[in-house]
Amino acid sequence: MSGVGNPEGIGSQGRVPAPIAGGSAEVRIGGLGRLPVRRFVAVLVGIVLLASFGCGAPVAEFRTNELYLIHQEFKSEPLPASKRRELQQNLKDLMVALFGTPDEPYFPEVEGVDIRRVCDPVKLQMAAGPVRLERSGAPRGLYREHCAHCHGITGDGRGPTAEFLNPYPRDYRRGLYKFKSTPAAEPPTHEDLQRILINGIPGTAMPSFRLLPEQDREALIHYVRYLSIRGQVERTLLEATFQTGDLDLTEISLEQLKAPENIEFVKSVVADIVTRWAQADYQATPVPPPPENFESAESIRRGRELFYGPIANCVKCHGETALGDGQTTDYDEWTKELMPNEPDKVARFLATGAALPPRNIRPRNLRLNVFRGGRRPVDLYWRIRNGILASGMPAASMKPDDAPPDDPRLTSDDIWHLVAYVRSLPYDDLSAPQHLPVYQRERQ
Amino acid sequence: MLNSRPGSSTADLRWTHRLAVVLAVATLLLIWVGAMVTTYQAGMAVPDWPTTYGYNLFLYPWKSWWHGPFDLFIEHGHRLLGAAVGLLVIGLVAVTWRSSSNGYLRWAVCGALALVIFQGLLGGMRVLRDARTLAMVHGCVAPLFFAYTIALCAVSSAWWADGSSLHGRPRQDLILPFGWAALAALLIYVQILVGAHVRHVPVAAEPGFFRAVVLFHLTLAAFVLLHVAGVGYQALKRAADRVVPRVACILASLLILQLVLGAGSWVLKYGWPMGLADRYRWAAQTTLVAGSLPFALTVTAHVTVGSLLLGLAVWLVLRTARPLLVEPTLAGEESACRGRSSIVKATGGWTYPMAVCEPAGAGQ
Repeated sequence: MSGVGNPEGIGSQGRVPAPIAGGSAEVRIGGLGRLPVRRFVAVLVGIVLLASFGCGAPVAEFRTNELYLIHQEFKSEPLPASKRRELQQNLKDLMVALFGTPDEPYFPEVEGVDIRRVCDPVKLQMAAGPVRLERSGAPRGLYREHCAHCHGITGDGRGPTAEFLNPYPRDYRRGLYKFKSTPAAEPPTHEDLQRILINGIPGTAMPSFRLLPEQDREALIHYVRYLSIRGQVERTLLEATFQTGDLDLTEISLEQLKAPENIEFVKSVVADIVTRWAQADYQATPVPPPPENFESAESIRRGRELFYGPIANCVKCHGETALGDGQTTDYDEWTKELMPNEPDKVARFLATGAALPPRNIRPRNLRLNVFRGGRRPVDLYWRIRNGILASGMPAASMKPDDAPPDDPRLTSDDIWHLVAYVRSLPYDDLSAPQHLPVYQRERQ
Repeated sequence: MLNSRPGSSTADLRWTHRLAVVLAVATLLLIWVGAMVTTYQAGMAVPDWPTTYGYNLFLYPWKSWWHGPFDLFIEHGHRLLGAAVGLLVIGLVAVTWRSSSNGYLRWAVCGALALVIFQGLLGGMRVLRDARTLAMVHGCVAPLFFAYTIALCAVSSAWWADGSSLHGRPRQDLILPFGWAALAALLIYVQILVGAHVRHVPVAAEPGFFRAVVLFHLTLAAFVLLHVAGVGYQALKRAADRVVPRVACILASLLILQLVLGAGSWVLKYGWPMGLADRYRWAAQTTLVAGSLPFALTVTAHVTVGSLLLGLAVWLVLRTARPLLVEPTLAGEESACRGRSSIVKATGGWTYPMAVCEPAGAGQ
């Protein structure tokens, strides 16, 4: 029954309520005074302010390589504050002139190099800028969507989430990559980068992007190369200022840079780096076929000998048990730049926010059956043959073709035997003794 | 004086209540889809607003929507669902103003309309200004609106009007469950705000900022867990009716689910923490997949369950507050009563049928 127009205030049950004995039937409704419109608006404003607290959305711009600048200062001598500011501003202006901004990336033309193969401007546009979708359905801002939270806008491996990740995200600015088919100091091939994007890196925060359309992955590869080249050019310009003196950015403003000799120098720096990247696809280390007895008992036995032997000397870092417990106090190439064995210098790097706290590099536990750069025999062949320069793993000491037969250095067959031994380790009893039935354990 | 002014009975509020329930369910669905938009970073999939690629929102060719890119599909779907929720609120306002003369309820549904318009404008401004900060604020107002719809469900319900939860408890016993529930709602909402900062961390932010919000989020999660356990204890010990302990148990269970979803979201996004991948084969073998369905569902569920927790906490607040809205002497007297009937109280145009005492032995 409706209460509307019910002057007697009959309740929903349709009964006239009886007065409470000794009390009033009137009840005061606490807390419900006048309409709380103002309070409502005040609460809304408060929510908005609280929600936006601390998030003034910092501008997405390329950071100057402060880490390398401090490193150079430690190596030569600290700059006076005014010169330092001058250097930072000049370097920033020059980098913008050469490579544009994160929203509007630009790639300089280099004579004799088809830049579309290295950093295709169309693909750069797809990966750059804020995340959005064009009217045509083409994506924009792919790098910020998929990579920047860890690798950072500049590709310095210092995205907001970086500190929580182990290992830290890669700093692209040195052009160093771990898992690749080219010799240690060379840039990776296009296929190497593609493989990492498709497969991801197991056991780390680097995901597989296999669900992304191929053109999106391609755009990311071109953008990563762009960040690497940009970073390498920036480093070389800092070296030119501090070490070689070819271009003193503490003195020369952008206007003065227009002098022909300065332009020529900058052009040559860019050309050298871009050319190396353009040629990387032809630098992949050839892989000879494995010997006929590959992965036989004999092959594994030979690999074991080499593993513990003085030439390959894998045991030094991977340990007697191959659990990765040999050398555990070393640092990777990126961390070495922080001079991690000198605490006062590390403190200076950390104080400027240019780096994350140093961590030791951990040699791989070979018994986990997880190889971050890929578990195919050919992947392991490349790792052992070329080494992983960035992580301190040296390239194999290879025997030249014209070496005498008693030369103790390694042949390609030896590398394959090492591959066979490494691949057998996860199935070794030591790797998973806990999986054996109890009676077998007792018998052993 | 009983009821000198017209009020509303449960019968009047039946459609208001039904619509409020539908609105709450639709809002939760809307939050789920909105969370999906953020998960897939599809907020800018449609660059204009309130139109969709120049079309009126409702006239955008459905084939382009259905068969278009996934980003466009979920963003436009989110807009359509948002519009549906807006229409539901308008319907709720119309029904309430037509069937109820209750001033508070009438203005309460108008408050929902204001809030949904504000939320829509936030969403629109996020697109027009391409501002991720506004996206985060939009995401923070959404649970608030959901909690508001839950509150509308509560105050338009039969138990609110009936006030049957009054009897059997002295007033001082009723205050504690209410206080604990209110603090739980507040803590959960603050946790949602902090979680939004974790989820919407700007790409150009410093690592220190992210570290601060993550650690705050984890610490607050521990506080919320302990507090909700306290809510359960208070509800079991002191609640005026049997529904409150049950809902408190559901709240606690959902919170545990929420913790699992939060941990799952982290692992699926950033991998195993604390160097587990260096020690254990199962962790070392984990390869994350960007944009995978398990990740999208887990993180989206984490966002949605967060809103659901807030909604439940608000419901508990109102359920435990309801007996306190009665004059203390009345509650004390009623505690001695057996049986129930109704009295009607009109205050400010709102009629409250309350549990009242019947003389001892009446009805026997």
